[in-house]
Amino acid sequence: MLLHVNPASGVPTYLQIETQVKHYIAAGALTPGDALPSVRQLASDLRISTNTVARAYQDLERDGILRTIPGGRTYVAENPGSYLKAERVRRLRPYARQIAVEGTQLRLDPREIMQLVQQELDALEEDNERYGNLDRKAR
Amino acid sequence: MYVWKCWRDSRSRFIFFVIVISAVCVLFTIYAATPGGRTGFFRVGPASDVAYLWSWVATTLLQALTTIIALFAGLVLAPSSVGQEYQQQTLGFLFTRPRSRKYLNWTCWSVGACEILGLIATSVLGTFATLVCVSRYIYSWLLLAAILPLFVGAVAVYSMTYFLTVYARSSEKGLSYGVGILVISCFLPLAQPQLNHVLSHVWYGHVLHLASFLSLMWTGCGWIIAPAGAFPIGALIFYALLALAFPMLAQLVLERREV
Amino acid sequence: MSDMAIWTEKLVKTYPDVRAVDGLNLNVPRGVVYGFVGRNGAGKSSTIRILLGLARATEGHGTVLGFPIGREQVSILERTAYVSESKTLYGNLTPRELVRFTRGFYPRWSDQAVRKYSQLLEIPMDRPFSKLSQGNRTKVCLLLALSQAADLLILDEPATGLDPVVLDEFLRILVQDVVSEGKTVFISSHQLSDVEQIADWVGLIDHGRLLLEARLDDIKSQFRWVTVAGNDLPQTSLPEAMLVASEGNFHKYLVKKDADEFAAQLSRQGATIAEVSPMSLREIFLALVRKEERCTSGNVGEIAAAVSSSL
Repeated sequence: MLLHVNPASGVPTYLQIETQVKHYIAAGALTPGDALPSVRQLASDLRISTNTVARAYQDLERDGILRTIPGGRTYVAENPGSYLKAERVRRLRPYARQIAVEGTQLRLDPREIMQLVQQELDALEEDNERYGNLDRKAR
Repeated sequence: MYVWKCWRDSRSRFIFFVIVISAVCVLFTIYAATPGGRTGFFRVGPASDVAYLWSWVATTLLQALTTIIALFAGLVLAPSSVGQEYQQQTLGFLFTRPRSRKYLNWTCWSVGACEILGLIATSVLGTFATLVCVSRYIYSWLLLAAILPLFVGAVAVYSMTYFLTVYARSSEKGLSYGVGILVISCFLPLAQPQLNHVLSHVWYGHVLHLASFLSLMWTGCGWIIAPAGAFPIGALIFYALLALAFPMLAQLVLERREV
Repeated sequence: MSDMAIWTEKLVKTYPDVRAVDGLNLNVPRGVVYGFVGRNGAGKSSTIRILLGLARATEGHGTVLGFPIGREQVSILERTAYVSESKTLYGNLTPRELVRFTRGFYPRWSDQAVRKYSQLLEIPMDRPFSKLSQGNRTKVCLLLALSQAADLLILDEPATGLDPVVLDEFLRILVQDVVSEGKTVFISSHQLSDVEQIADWVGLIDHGRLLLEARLDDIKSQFRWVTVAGNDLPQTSLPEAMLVASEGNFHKYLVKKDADEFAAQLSRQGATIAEVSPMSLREIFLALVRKEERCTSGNVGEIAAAVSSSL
């Protein structure tokens, strides 16, 4: 798994890692059961502190996206969304609020904001299909 | 490990002095072994008079020449490792090793003191060998005891210069101050008769006499070569204490100093 | 405090003409990479010298790895590796001899580490130290520090003279062999980009005291530039906001936390929020340390007070 972080950006490094992992999963580049590099390996490759990587992995695990077997590797969780629908909606709400606030501050009207979100969802689906095709070809 | 480093720093100077002392002994042997009357600065009787020969060689070589060389060695060896630390600004490295400054101070000093001992032993043994070569006869084993007054005197000079180097934070300054004090101290006894006259207290004279580093080595060797009167035990103890006091002072300075 | 790698309380160091350290309260947790940043003369080197016993604190006390500074200095030095800013070692010795000299002090010394790192860092082991370039000298110092198997590494400007390749390699070694073993790394550096990359915590020192000490992640997720447009300067009572620049209608604030709330407050007062953007470590550093306009709303937050008192 090739990640990339930019330490100089204003976004904390651990968040960058979390976002990328989630993106890879959403796009289908990482599928349930795939192994992730160890904390040490990833930290060493990216030249960042192991604590940062550990935090990202811990957060993702707490969110149910990753799973670590005791004393072993970390894997993409089988059912990344094994929560009740209500719980999942509750988890997404802060992000939705953020989009609403930011969009309003930027003086975009609700329709434009919804369009944006739809565009992103479509792009994800395209990626998903593309990786899915590659996957099938590889097998 | 620090012992190794101190040795390495002063190694070349030590070897230099060993060579000088050995060379002086060898040259002297050659000179003394030349048959015929000797004239010039050192007058001596017929070569067959063993006692006379012994006295002459020992006095000249041991008491005069090697004493002075040993004093120089004391001066020169002292700045070598301590001064280098200051010059190269490596004290920040050295003092962040897990050893107390007390340990580092005494280790550095001890290496030099051992080297002085080595040089003194070389000079005394060299003189002894010269005498044996020249007279083909061992007159007195007591000569070897000359190591004691010579060593104590030389170490006192060494300790003084060592402390001065630490205090002045510089090899050159330490050496210069040491030379200065040594030279002055050598000439102090000259004032003894005058001061005795003025002060009319005998013990002032003794103090002045003591203040000369050479006095111990000179009279100590002199006594060993031709025992007469009392061995200068007072001076011996005084200089031995001095030799230990200076590194103690250096330790206090180093412990309080900031780098 | 003994579970901290480094802890100081009200540390003060005065020299005849200057107060180099002025009430410093350091808290460096174990097992992290702590970036100690500040301007020249801010007190970084003085602090490090006190921690290592090279200088004595005028007031205050502290511990390193649980041992009190000064009283048990040798115990600290047994477990601490130090790379000084000047990187001077004995000029007449070669790196190989320097290794030989240094290893005798440390029972946990690793010869294997010496072999490995001397190769990875490309160190000429048999050239006298005085004849080495600045970069090579730094590498030798780093080699000695890494091979010591210390619990704490104190590195003062570890990147001096290192080319990008070697620096990258060194960072990798640091992460893989030091940080992942749970050791603590305390880096004092001007190279904010390196600090930003590898540090977990950041301590920003200025005029002898800490302006900021927090996890880098937290700093980055909370510090924001808030740029607004408004006719009269909006009033705000948030202590963590500081006006940094003004140009005509536009005003730029540095907000230490709750930036969204601050922006909302301003927009309620009629200002237009132009942008709320994140800040790099360099921007945070410059903004906190540089003397800028004080926040005219009369905030008495520590930062604003420090700025105004220095005007």
